[in-house]
Amino acid sequence: MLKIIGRIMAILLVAGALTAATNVAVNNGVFGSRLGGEREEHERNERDGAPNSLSARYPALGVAVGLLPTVLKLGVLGVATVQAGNLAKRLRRRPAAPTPASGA
Amino acid sequence: MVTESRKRTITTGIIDVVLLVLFIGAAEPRPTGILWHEWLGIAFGVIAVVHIYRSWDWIVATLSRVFAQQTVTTRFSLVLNILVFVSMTLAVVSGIAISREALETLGIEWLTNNAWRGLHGLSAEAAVILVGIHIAMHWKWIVNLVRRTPIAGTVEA
Repeated sequence: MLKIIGRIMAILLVAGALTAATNVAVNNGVFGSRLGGEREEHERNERDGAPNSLSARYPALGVAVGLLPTVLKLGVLGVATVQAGNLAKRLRRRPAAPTPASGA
Repeated sequence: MVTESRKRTITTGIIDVVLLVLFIGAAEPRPTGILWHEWLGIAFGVIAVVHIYRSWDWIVATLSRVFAQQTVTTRFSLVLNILVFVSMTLAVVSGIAISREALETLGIEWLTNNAWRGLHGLSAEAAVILVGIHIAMHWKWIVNLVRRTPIAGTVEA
């Protein structure tokens, strides 16, 4: 039990240290102060969502369609990484071409 | 007979699926609405700690050999996982900092600087890219897990 608590505390400690460092950076204006004038519009957009007739009629469908871009991004990146990994493996396995000096 | 190791793999698989669903649900605030977005994000943060906890042995083993000779894949995984951790922590923390509904329910107010808002968008976008690669790095493990489910019809004896 102590081991579990210790490990979780360690994870939270690292996350906490990162948070504290970010907080200091934010308060010292490292990231600037964005969205100043746009803040209200940004908040309104976030709160109201993206109204359209489809999501108004079928809320579940609206949510599914809205989440699609994230799923697609994950999928495309996933497939690209897997393919890049396969290609790298294939290139490593490929035997070296015989050189003229080898007499082949 | 299901072995201990098999049980552990299945539990890890279930936790990872829950984590992915929470991540996708929390990634877009518009379709779900801000309240769901915030609570899904907080739930994601909690389950993410469990996910990291369950990878403890790998983390310790890899970090202890950080200067030793390692395969390119292991080294890449280590860097990637550190970046995923940083982006996720920043996304969750900045999300809590700019939270309106969830923290209001708990009676907490944090937002001191608007920069948290920009940081939230940036870290969340980075997280989507990094998570895509993170999942791909474990693709073989995922495929093996799915193949061995009862639905796939190849249950281990």
